[in-house]
Amino acid sequence: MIYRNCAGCHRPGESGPFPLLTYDDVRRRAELVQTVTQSRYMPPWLPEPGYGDFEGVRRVSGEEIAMIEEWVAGGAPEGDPADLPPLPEWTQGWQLGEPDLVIRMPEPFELPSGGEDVFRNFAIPIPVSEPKYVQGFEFRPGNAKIVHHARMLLDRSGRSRQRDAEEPGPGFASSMFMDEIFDPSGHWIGWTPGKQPVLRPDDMAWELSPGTDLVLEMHMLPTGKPERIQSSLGLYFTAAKPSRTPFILRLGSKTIDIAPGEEHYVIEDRYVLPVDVEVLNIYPHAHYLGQQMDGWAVLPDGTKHPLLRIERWDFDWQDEYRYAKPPVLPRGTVIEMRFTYDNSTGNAENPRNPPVRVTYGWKTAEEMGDLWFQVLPRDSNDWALLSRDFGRKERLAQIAGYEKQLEIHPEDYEKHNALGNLYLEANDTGKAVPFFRRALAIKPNYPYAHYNLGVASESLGKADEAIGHYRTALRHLPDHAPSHNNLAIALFARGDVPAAMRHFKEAVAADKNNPEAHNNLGIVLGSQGDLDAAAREFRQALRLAPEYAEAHNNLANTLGAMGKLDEAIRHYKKALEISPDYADARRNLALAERARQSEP
Amino acid sequence: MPISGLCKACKEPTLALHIVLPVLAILLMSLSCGGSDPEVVLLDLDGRSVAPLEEMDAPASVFIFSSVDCPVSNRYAPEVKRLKAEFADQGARFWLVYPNPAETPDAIRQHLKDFGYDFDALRDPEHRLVDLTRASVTPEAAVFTSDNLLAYRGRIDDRQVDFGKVRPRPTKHDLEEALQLVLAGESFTPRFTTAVGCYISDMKR
Ligand code: HEC
Repeated sequence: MIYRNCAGCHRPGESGPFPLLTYDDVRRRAELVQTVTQSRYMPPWLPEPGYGDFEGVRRVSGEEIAMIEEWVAGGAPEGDPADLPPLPEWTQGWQLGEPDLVIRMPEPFELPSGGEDVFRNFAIPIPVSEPKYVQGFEFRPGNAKIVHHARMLLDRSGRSRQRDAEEPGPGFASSMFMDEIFDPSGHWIGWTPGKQPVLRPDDMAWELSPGTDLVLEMHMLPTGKPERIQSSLGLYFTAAKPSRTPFILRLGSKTIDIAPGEEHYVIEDRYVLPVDVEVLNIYPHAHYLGQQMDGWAVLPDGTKHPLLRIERWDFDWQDEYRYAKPPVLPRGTVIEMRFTYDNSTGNAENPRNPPVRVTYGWKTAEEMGDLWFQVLPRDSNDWALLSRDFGRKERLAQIAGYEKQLEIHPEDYEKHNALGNLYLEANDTGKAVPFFRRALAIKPNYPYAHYNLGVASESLGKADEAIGHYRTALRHLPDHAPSHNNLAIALFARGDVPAAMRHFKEAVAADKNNPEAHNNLGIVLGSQGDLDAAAREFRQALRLAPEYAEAHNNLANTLGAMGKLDEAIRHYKKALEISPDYADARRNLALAERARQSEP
Repeated sequence: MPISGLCKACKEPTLALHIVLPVLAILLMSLSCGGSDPEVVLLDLDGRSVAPLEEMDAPASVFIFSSVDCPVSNRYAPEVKRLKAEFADQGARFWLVYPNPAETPDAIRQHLKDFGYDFDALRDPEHRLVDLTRASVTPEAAVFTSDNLLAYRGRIDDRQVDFGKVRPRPTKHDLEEALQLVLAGESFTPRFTTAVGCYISDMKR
């Protein structure tokens, strides 16, 4: 029972503080083992049985607990050593075999001996020069005793790398999640002690594009002595382009606002599924005030299907849970969640004593309430529909969240800007503009608000104003690639080709790994008859994004103009393979084929 | 003075303190007398016998029960070192006591080094001091006055609420408060609190 339930973590090199491998290891701690199993602190596992059937369940049965109790009461006898089963064999090193790529913290982080838990982020460049399809990952903490959990996210903007460089020592402290940081599409990458890595089906990989940084976010627990840690992430690639992409749904609240002393604060949320899905994974999240968590589905016929229950949430043992047999939820199913919170002194883990008002936020002294579902549309053509439909719900939730935040922090210009941005995304330019203006009133010259005003002005047909805003943005943030790009497009549209060219070049210089920037520059170069340079840019765009249909079409046009018809035809065909409804490419292909037939 | 100090305290419940003891405290203290030979002899890391209570000349003697691999106890190392740094100047004498018989002198030396403990360390494999103070887990503290009276036994502070349940910061610094009282020489009620941590192994209960 100890080998099966405990030894995986309680052995040298793993997270457990001492080994539980021999009779004597256990006998010496017999009463402690009894206490921690009885209270179900060990083995660590939060979901209640009967509410979702998960893989890798770590739970000792009632009989096993009774057996330990009896054994301890009887003086922890050894029994016949001949009956001892052989010690399980554990794979040394990488559990999934040698990874295709190992990303390692470039230098170790020194964790102080005491004080509060440490949350730290590390931005690490991922050295790939072409897109890769990631089928699995394995995280090796390097020092398993101090990592409570780790989450890995991606950043293509370079901003986390910049923060990492700005702060002394490895990593950066800010626990603020920046908008630029994201999970790989339809997946998340996390680690908790004892987690077994798995390879996903190879048709469900996620795409990793060049120029992406890994943002490793670690929650570490001081042990009493100074510790060092240097973690690595192994990635496993597959050649196959994914044909199935899961989707992440989120239920929860971004308007949490809990009065001090409130013992039973409740959040609830629901969503009607517009398509048939399977639920692969579920990932609950709250901070130190979270108590009970429930997630369930109400099927169209009215039956209730439990998806998760956690009776006593424990931030320190948060995890994602994978269904052993993914529940199938037909279109029209309502998925629902309900979390409770305790912001009184009765909750010992309350970060504030005496309690204070707690509102939504990423910091651990703030609160969150999210239940994420990784779902797989049963028909992969439904992905776009689900994404659109859920995107609307999520945008409303975000707008509500920012409005609440602005009530609390009315002078936060970044939040004004972010809220305006959400209205822009919702195509409500009229509502968006006043928020950008407000951001600029608080923080004159704030470049991101100028950039957004530029976008808004364009959509209102005011090209001159747009150009003015992009120029102002660039005066204060000279490397802002999107401003260069949009300004260049506006200038090109007006026929100011030299200025457009200059700004497209700046956009490429500021964001070398952006395929669209290369594509755009290629178009201007081509328009000026510089075919060789144009082809170079299109090829670079395709190196970065081999499935970029427009770049294939543009390269083909350029090749055609250079007389390389065979190669051009190949690229038109490729464009049509990626995007069969691409009318320009089809017409161009027909023209090119006719031209070749008429060749001598 | 022989090491009947604690029993003296038990047998004279007035404790010359003019304070009514809580019933529980009296009960625990009288239990800890037991009436048998109260000689408390521990071992230093070279295996020599030490009777720390006999050479008690400090205004306060603090014993911290410790273990080399209990995560709760290890996490308290910085706090224990802080308390020593703060109160040693005022005459408090600090000891680390390792009660788990399986923890060898070499393992303890390594532990002192790893955690940067500049402390006198004793082993208590026979649980002499454990029995006398009724300590049950690591980490747990016991404070004696210069008269060999047990003034405090229990948790260092209230940060660790239960297994896996830790306050971000303590709200009550029990050991620190006890030390302040003892060093101020004021009359006080001996205090006992429940410590959370790893049970001292092979405890006879
Ligand atoms: C998923 C990994 C994992 C498994 C499985 C696991 N443990 Fe643990 N255990 C840990 C970690 C990590 C800690 C340290 C917690 C801390 O740092 O406070 C721990 C701590 C403990 C402690 C010390 C309690 C304390 O905090 O002082 C005991 C006793 C224990 N485990 C017993 C067990 C037993 C018995 C089992 C099997 C029934 C078990 N563990 C299974 C990871 C695990």
